[in-house]
Formats: sequence, structure tokens, C-alpha cells
Amino acid sequence: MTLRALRPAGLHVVAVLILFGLQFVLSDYEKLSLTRIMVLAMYAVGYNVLFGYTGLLSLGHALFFATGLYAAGLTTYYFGFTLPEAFLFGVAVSALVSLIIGFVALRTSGVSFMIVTLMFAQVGYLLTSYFIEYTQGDAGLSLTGSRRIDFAGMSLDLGEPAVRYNLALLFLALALLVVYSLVRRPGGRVLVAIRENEDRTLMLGYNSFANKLWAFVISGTISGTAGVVFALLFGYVGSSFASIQYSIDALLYTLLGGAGTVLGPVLGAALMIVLIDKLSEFTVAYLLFVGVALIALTLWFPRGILGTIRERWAPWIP
Amino acid sequence: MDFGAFLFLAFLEGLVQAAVLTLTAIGLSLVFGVMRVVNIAHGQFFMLGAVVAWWVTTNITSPVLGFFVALLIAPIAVGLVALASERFILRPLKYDAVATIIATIGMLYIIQELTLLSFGPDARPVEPPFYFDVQFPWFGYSGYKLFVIAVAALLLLALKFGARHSQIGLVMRATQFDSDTAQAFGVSVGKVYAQVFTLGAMLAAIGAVLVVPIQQAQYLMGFDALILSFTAVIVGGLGSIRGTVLAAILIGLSDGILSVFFAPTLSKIVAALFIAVVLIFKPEGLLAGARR
Amino acid sequence: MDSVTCFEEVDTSRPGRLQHIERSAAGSGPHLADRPLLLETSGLERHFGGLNAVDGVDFALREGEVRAIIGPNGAGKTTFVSLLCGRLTPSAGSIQFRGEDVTRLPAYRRVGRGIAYTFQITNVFGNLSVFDNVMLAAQSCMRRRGGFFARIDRAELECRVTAALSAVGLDSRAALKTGELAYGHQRLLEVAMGLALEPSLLILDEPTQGLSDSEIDEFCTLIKRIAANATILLIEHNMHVVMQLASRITVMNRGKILAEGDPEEIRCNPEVQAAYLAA
Repeated sequence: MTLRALRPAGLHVVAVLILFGLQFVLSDYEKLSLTRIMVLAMYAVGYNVLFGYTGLLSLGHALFFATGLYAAGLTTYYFGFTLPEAFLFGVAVSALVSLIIGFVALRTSGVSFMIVTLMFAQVGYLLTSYFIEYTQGDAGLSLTGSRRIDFAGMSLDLGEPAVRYNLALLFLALALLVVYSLVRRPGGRVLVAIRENEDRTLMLGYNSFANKLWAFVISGTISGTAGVVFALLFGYVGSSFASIQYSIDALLYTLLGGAGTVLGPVLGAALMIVLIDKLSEFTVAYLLFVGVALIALTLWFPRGILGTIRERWAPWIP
Repeated sequence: MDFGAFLFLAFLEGLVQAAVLTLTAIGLSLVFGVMRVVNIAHGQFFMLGAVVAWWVTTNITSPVLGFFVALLIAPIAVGLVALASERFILRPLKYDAVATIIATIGMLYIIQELTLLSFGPDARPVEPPFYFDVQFPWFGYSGYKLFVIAVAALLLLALKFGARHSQIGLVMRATQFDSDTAQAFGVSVGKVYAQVFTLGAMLAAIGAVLVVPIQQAQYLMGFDALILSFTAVIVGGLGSIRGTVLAAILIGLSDGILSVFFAPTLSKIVAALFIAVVLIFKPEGLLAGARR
Repeated sequence: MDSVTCFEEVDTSRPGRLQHIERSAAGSGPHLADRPLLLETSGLERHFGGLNAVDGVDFALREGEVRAIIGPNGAGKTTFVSLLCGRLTPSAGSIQFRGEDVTRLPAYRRVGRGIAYTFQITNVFGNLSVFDNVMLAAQSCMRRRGGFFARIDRAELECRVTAALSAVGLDSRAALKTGELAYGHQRLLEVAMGLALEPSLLILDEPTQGLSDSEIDEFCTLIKRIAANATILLIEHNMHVVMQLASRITVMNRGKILAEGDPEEIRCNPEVQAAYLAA
């Protein structure tokens, strides 16, 4: 195996290692920030499978994040699920919801698809308001109860920043692994083909609907799992996570970092979240910046950071 | 008041809603029909119209004068914003469907947040230009609301006439029908697009000025306006102006009834689901028979 | 053309492998009329509003034929062929492929059954390289043959792609983005993609349109080689090409079949001459 051939995989291993190493130089507060960033990056990584690789722009991905969030959160809060139980339940529900939504939404394409996903997400958001007695709407629920995981002889205390950090990193790394192996294999090539020219892909014998649905479920499940992880790590659920703004965030992070690259969403999430956090210290209207960023990105920088790097200098970046 | 009278009252209320919605939705429909792009920031043009109207009426003491000046200034101001965004954002993007949606989302945020910064988060009322009650046998009804219905109806007729009998209307219709051929005939497609986009925004602004004495001006009011306009356009059939008008009337009337029987959240859920279901199962629009 | 080395150890008794292109198209074998029926349509119709683009077509194609469909513009040739490959659904009638009724089968499934279509207006993946374009076709073929869970061997995949590109003469251009190719080469890419699918029936829709004379000659040579192992259905306006390649010709006019027969019969047919070949 030449060094060249190892570059794509190596890049990702190095990225994960860097994130791992950072915890030893960061303060507890910074660790917490980065934990949050990593979970949201995972959300964007899931989004990218559908948007960057398959070419389907969903404007309602917050629905999946919120599904995972509430599935895990409500079951721990009301039914006393243990953390591992809530985790598995949340992932399963995310997968199921993605399958159902995907099955109907994929009957449309282009502009209609965007609006349909937007509408389903809006329904999800409104439902959290409608059932406000259970969800407490915007105020949200703080998940009390066991903050320990007992696993393979170890006992992990989720109150510790280091524990949370590494769990978030673990799941982000897993998501990256899934996406990486997807895009490097024949299946991933078909998704790109559908994005480039669906008509032709059909005429080459591919069932584009089945492929798109598959991508949709993977995308929704990863994003949903990010929601599960968020709920369990931070012990909080609230309806703001189901809002349209959260859907736009996924798009924004992916566009900035580079749609259609595996690491792009991670980069975009990190940059954007840090920027917005800094901005919201100065003004309540930080969304203004988001708006400008969106326009600037579409006008001048549609490939995003990693995408532009790949195009100009490093075509081997997956 | 017996049930019949109550129904008539609901009908009038619905008609007011329908009037405003029709004006707002036509803008969205025109833009999609001619330019084939969806403007997610359309609701913001509506909101801007309301905000400008508030600003004008606050600075002019006479409510009547203030209102009519607002009716003049708001569309112009909003039109300028629309023109600028078409020229500097949409045109460079070559009206690509996906890029336009993303960019107009950006515009939504920008306009909304700038309004938040200058106007503030509160809802602010505007005085109606006149107060008189029209006495029906069963109840007194606000004359201003009837005025709104009348103005909207007149404007619609003027638009229809303009579309059929003016040079601009012809050019717009030609471009909608076949932009390549129109271009071959010397029509400056870019100029037509700018005109259409601006007109759409101005109509929404007029609708907002009309409704703001009834409803207050608030920086978040654009989103609901967008969703309702969207529903009208989709139900009526993407690209069909007549369908949009019919759908807007239908929705305006039924929105009145819905909000009587259902909690606002539930009726919003129904509206959102409705749009999704129509797009999935009848993508040409519910009223697709009323094409062209 | 370079010899295809990757299949040397492979079982030669399996039909349809690319190596068979190596064999000369001697035209030997059973007489046309005795060969099995590959494709048959019965009363096939397609209306567009008031227009009967395809108006009751009974068509039969046998294995091993090179059939040309000719006719004036608007005769319904492309509509007919779109019905065959599944891009359009018929208003009436039926289509049988290898004895199976495929009338309601979606297009992508028909590709799976062995029907490959190359577009009249080139429709390739503009942003991908020539190699990647053909790779998608070859991958589809391997997936089809190996079953859903089959592992796709990268080496074999690349081998098939190279073979298809060599066959049409594009191997030196494999790394180029298709958007940068000359028009004639894009048409060859279409054929390469069709080849990589290893179809039983290859449908070519006006393949020589826009090609120079020398490119057309090379194209005819290529088709003759492909014809050794695949049935070919060809829409063409270029009569020189038709006469060179076709074993049988079907003439369409106004949505119906006007005449059918071997090249000589068609050339002498007075109705055909009046409708189409005049001057």
C-alpha cells in the first residue's frame, strides 16, 4: 500500500486524532463547547449524505435531530429508561421516522422536495408546541435521573466533561466511518450518479428511488442519533431544536465546510458555531450574519472550504 | 345573533383575509410562474410593507393622510429592496432553483434581523384611516375592512386588465410561456424578471399596508404570510395565476372558519401537512383544471 | 484494437462477455428467420393529446439482427424506441421481450433485462470523467449478474471499463471530464456505456448525427464488431450507414410501419421512395 493510497483514510484518522488530543489542552468550559460542536457536526455529517452526495436538499432535517432528541429524552424522563436503552430506542425511532418520511417525500424532487421536507419539519416543531404539557415546548425538560453508564465493568459519570467529550468524539468518529465507507464503495458512486444525472442513472439500470431512500434513511438516522447523543450528554430537550432555524443550520455548516466531502460538515460546524457564539455576545440579531453567510456562500463559494481545496489542489479528498 | 348572521360575519372576516392573501400570494405565484424560482423571502416583503406603513403613519399626524401616503411609499420602498436583491443576488445566481432558495433564505434572515434591530421585537399597532361602521341588519361591521376588500378586488381587476391589454402584460406572459422564444423576439428577459420580481414584492407590500390597521406590525409576521401564500400557490397549481387567486380566496375564507374551531397551533399543523400532502400526491396543484 | 487480456482465464462458454467482440462478425450462423424472437410489440400506441405519435405498431425483432428504423422527421421513431426502453408508457398495446411481457416494467428494470439505450442527445455525466461514466455502467452490469449482495471486485470492474473504452477507441481519453470531450467522442462514450452494460438489445438513437465522415466509418466498423454478439436496433437518417450495417430495415411514417424488408427490397419499394427516399 503506497502512502498515496492511504491519504484519504489517513486524513480522517488524523482529524479524529487531533480532536482526541485537543481535550488535553482545553479547559473544562472549552471542552464543553467542543463537545457540543462535535454533536452538531455529527448532525451535519448526516445531512451531508443526502445533500452533498445524493444532491437532495432537505430543508427539514431538524425533524430527525429532534426525533432522536425527544425519543431519548422523553423516555428517560417519563419512563425511566436507562441511558443505553434510551440510546437504542432513539436510534431505532430515528431510523423508522426517516424511512416513513423518506418514502413519501422522495416521490417529489427539486423544489417540491425542499418544501415537503420543510413542511414535515414544521409539523414536527408545531407538535412539540401542541403537546406542550409533555414537552414543555421552548423551555424544555431537564433530564434528571441517572447520569451514570455502567458498561463492561466501567462506570462512566456523564457529569464529567472528559467523559462527555470522548463519547461525543466516539459517535462523531463512528458517523464519519459510516459516511466514509459509504462514499468509497460502489453504492456511494451510485448516489453521486443520481445527483449528477438521475435520468441517465435510471437508464443504466439503477433503481434510483431505492437508492435515494437508502441515502435518506442513513442520513436521517445519523442526524437522529446526533439528537439522541445530545439529549443524553447534555440532559436537555427543547423545541428550539426542532425549529426551521436548526434545519437551516445543517445546510449552513455543510455548505461552508464543503458539501460532498466527508469532513466538510465538521469543519463548517466548528467554524460557524464558534463565530455565532462570539457574535451573540454582541447582538441579539446574529441570524443576520447567518443570512449574509448563506448568500455569500451561494454566490461566491458554493463548494465550501474543503470542496474548493479539493477542486483546486487535492482531488483525492473524499 | 342567529347562526346565519354569524356565518355571514365569518364570511366577511374570511373575505378580508382572502383579499390580503390574494395580493400577497399573487406575487409569489408570478415570480414562480415567470422566473421559475421560489422566493422564500417573500413573506419578508410583506412584513416590510407593514413596518414601513407603521413608520410612515407614526410620522404623519393625520391618520387618513398617513395611511394613503403609506400606501404609496411602502410598495415603492419594498419594490426597491426587491429590485436590488434581484439584481445583486438572483441574477448572478442565474436563477438556479436550489441556489435561489438558499440565497432567499439568507435574505429572509437579513431582512428579518435588520428589522428586529431597528423596529424592535414588539408588535406595534397602526391607526386605521377612518372609523365608520357599516350597519347590517344583524350587526355593525367595520367600514375599513370592507374598504380593504374593495381595494383588493379593484387591484386584481386592474392586474387582470393590465395582463391582457398592456404591453408589459403581454411581454410578461410571453416570457412565462417560453422565455427562449421571447428572448429571440428581442425581449430582455432580465428586465422582465426584474419587473416581475419587483411587482410581486410591491403587491405583497400593498397587502400588508391594507392589513396592518387590522393586525399589528411585528418583525416575525413574514413567516406566517409566507406559509399561507405558499399554500395558495401550491393548491392553485404552481405557475397558474388564476389558480392562485381561487385558492387564496378559498383559503382566506376557510382560515376564518378553521381558526374558530381549531387552536391556532393545530390549524398551522393542518396547513403544513396539507401543503406536503398536495405536493406529494397531486404535484400539479389541487385546482390544476384552472390552468392558464 | 488491443486484445482484451483480463478475461483470458475466464470461462469462455458464458455468452455475452466482452471478449466475444474479438471474434469477427462473419455473419455465419443460422438464417435470420430461424433465430429466436427477441422483441415483439403488438398494437403499440402512444398518443400525445390529439397526436398519435405511435399508431398501432406490430414489430418483431430477432436475435442477432441489425435492424435499422428509418423514416421522415416526426414519423414516430424516437417515440417508438422510447416505448421499447421504458422511458414512455404506451397508451395501448404490449411489448414482449424474450417472451416476457415488459409493457408495464419500469425503464430501469428493462435495463436489467438486457435492453440498453443510448440517447439521441448525449446524456452523460458531464462532471465525471470518461472512466467514471463507463464505470457506472459496468458496475450496474456486475451488480445485475452477481446479485444484490455480490461484492464488486474493483479489479474486474476496472478491467471491464478499460475493455469497453478500448472497443470504442476512447481509452486514451479515460481521465478527461466528459464535459470537455468533443461531440463525436461523447457519442462514442454513449456507445461505450451501452457496451459495458452487456445488453442483449442495444438501441442506438441517431448515433452518427454530428459525426465527421471518418468518424462515421470508424463507427460502422465498431457496430459491425458489436453485432457479432448483440442484437442492434438503430434509428438512422444517414442512408449510407443504414445500407452498410442493416440486415433488415423498418420504415416508419406517421406513427405506423410503412414497409419492412432487407435493404434491397426497401431501396426498390416505390412507397418508401415516395415518402422518404425521394431525390
